[in-house]
Amino acid sequence: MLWKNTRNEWIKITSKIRSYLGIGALTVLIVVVQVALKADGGSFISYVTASFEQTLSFNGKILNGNLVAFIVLQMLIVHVPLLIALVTGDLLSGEEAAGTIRMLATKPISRTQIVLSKWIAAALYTFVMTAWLAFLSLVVGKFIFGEGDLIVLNSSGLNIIASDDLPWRFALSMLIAFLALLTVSTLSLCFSAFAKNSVGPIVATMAVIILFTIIGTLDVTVFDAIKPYMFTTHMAAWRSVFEVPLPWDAVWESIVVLLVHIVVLLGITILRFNKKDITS
Amino acid sequence: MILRLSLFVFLALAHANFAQTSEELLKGVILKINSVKDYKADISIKAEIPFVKVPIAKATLYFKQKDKFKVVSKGIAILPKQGISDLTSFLSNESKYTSLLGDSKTIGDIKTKLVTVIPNGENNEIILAKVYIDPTESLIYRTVLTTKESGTVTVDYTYGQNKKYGLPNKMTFSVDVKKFKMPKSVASDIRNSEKKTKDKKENKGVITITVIGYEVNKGISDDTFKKD
Amino acid sequence: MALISVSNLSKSFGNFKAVKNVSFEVREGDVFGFLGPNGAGKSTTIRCLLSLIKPSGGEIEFFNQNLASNRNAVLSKVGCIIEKPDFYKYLSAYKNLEIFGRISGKDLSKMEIYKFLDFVGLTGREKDKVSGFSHGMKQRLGIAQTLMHDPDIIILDEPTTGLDPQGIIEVRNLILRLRDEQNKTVLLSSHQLSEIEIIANRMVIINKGETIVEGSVQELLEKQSLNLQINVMNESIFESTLLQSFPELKYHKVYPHNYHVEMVSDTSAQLNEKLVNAGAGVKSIVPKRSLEDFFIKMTEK
Repeated sequence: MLWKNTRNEWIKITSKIRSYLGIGALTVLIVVVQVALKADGGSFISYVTASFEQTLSFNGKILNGNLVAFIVLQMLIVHVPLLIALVTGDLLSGEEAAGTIRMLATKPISRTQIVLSKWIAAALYTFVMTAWLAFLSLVVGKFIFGEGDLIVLNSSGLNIIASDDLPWRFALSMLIAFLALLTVSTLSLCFSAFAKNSVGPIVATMAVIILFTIIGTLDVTVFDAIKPYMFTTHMAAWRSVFEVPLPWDAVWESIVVLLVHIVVLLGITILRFNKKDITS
Repeated sequence: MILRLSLFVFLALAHANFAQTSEELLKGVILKINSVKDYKADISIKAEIPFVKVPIAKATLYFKQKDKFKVVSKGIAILPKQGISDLTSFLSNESKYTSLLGDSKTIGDIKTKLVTVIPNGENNEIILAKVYIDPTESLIYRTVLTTKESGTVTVDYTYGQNKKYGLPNKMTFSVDVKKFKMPKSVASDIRNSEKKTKDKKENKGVITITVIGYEVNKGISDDTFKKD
Repeated sequence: MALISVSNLSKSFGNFKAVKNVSFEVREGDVFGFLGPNGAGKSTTIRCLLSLIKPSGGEIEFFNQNLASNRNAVLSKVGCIIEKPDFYKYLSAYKNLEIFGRISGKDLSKMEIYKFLDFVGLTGREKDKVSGFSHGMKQRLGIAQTLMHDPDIIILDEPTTGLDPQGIIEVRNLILRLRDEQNKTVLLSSHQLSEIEIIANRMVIINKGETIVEGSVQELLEKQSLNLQINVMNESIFESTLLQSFPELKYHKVYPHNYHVEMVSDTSAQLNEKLVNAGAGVKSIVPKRSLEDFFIKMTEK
C-alpha cells in the first residue's frame, strides 16, 4: 500500500502546475547565469584570481563548463529550497485545505504510510530538482563552455582540480546537496502536518532557513555551540567536496547531521499526523 | 614570464671562455640563447604554493626567436609571473642596465659567479636581478629577481642532456606569496578559522617545472603563437 | 447481525464534550438514519467511525472487530463520503477514481472504473477535470468512489447538503439502489427527519452529543400520534362536527380558523369527508407526524 500511495502522490505532484514552476524558474535562472557568464565571464574569473595574479599566471581554459556549473550551483542552491518548499510544504496541508485529506485518511492505509509515501514522493521531487539543477548547470554548461579543470576559491585558498578528477566530486556534491534539500523538504512536510493551508508551511520553512542562516553568519560566540548542529550550516557542505584534500571528516559530519535532521523531522511528522484529529 | 627569462638565460650557455667581467659573462649567456632558434618542450608543472592547491599539470612550451613564447596546457597550469618578460629584452640591450661582478658562489657542485644587474632608469618593473653564472659553460644556475609589484622570485636550474643548448631539464621557482589577500566570505563553512591560522605561517611558494622532452631547432610555425 | 456496534462513544475537544456516551447498532441490510440537528455531534461520531478522529472513550466495532486494532482491514470494507466529497480538482474524474481505487484495497481495471462512472451517470465526463464539476456531479462521483472497492458498509455524512432538489432526489435514488440492487448496508447522517423517513429503516437520534432514541423508523413512527394542522372557513361548523362525529379527538385552536388536531390512528380521510360534507369550508389539512414534534422538542432542549 505504501508504494501504491507513493505512486498516487507522485501523480498528484506531477499533475500540479506549481510543481513545474520550480523547474521552470530553475531553468530560466540557470540559462540567465550561463548567458551572463558567456558574455562577461572574465570579470568573474578575475575576481577569483585577482589576489594571485601579481605573482602567478594562469594558463589554460579557466572559464569552462565545470567552473560555470560550480558557479551556477553556488548561486542557485540557496534559492532551490524555496522552489522545493512550494511543492513539499503543500503535501499534507494542501490535502487538508482541499478537504481531500478526509477521503485519503478513510482509506485502508495507515497514517504512517500516508506520511511516508508523501515523503518518498517529496524526496523523488527533490531528487528530480537536484538532478535537473545538475544537468542544466553541468551538461548544458559543458556544451556551451567546454571541458576543463575547475578552479575554486574557498576558505583555504585556491584549489585547482583536474577535469578527470571532477565527475565523482560533482556526483558526491550533488548527493550532499540532495540531502540538504531533502532536509528542507522534510522540514516543510513537517510544518505541513501542523498547518491547514499551504502558505504557512512554505513561509515557515523559509523563515527557519533565513533565521538559521543569519545565526550561522553572526560572529557571536553564544551561537558557536549550536552552529555545528544547525542544518543550514551543512547546506553548504557540498562545497567541501571541491576542497583538496577532501575533508572527509567534515563531509561525513555534514551527512550525519543532515540525516539526523531528516529522521527526526520525519518522526515528528509521523507522530503529529497520527495524533491529528481530522476535523476539516 | 620568469620561465621565459630562465630559458633565455639558459640558451646562452655554450661560451666556455673564462670571462672575467660581468658584461662578458652575460654576453656568453646571450650567445647561447641565440643558438636555439626554436624549441618545443613537454613539461610537467608542480606547484606548492600557500593558499593554492593544484595537481601536477602537463603542458607544452613553444619558443621561437626572438621573443615568441607560448604555453599550451590541457588543464589549468600555474606559472610564475614576476615581470620576467621585461628582463629578456632588457639583458639583450646593454645600454639599459649596469652589471656588476660579485662574489663566487657554489650552487650544488658548480662554482658560479654572481652578476648583479641594475636598471639605469626608474621605469622598469625589475629593481634588481642577481644572476649566478657558471663561467666555464656559460650556464645560469640561479637567478634572484626583485620586482616592484611582485616581490622576489628565485629560480634554480638543473641541466641534463640539452645542456649544449643551454636548456635546463628542471627549473625550481621560489615565489613570494606574502602579498596574497583572500577575499572574505568566499565560503561559509565551519572550518574557516582553523585553516586561516595554519596558512598564515607560510609565505613562500615553490613551482617546479620538469622538462620531459625537447625538440630543438625543428622549426615552429608562427601560427602556433597566435592567440586562441 | 450487527455490522457496526458503537458503545459509549465519547469525544472531547479540550473541555468541550462533543459526543457523550453514544451507543447504537447498525445491522446488515439497514439503511440506518443518524439523525440530529446541526452541531449535535453527528459528524464527530461519524469521523470517529472512520478513524478520522480518535475517540476519548468507548468502543467501535465493525464486523465484530475492534476498529482501533483492525483499522485497515475494517476500512477496506467501508466506503464513505464525509460532508461533501472533495476531489483533486486538477485531476480528471477518471484519474481521481483511479487514485482512490488504488488505495482502497482493490485494483480496478479501466473498464471497471468506467462502469462506476456510468453507474453514477458521469459517462462522457470521465476525462473532465473535477474543478469544472457541479456539487451534484461531485456528490455522484463521491458515491462512485465509495463503491469502487465493493464495500459492505457505506457511510454517508449529510450527503444531500447543498444539493438542489433534483440533486437530492438523485442521491436518494442512488442510496435506495445501493440497498436494493447491491445489498449494501448504509449509515446515513442527516439533520432532516423527512429524508430519514423516506429512505431509512432504522435510526438513532442524537442531540448535544447524547443519544435520544434509537430504533426502527416504522416503530418509532407508529408509537407517535399523528397531528393535523387544519385551516377552515367556518369555525363553529368545524367544532360541532368534531364534537358529534369524532368525540375522541383532542383539538385546540392555534389562531383564528386554524386548529391543531391530535389523532391516535390515522383517520384524516374520514375527518376531511365529514368536514366537507358539513360545510366547514376546509381550506387545507396538513399532516404533521408527532415524531417530528418529538424530534424538534428533544433537540430544542
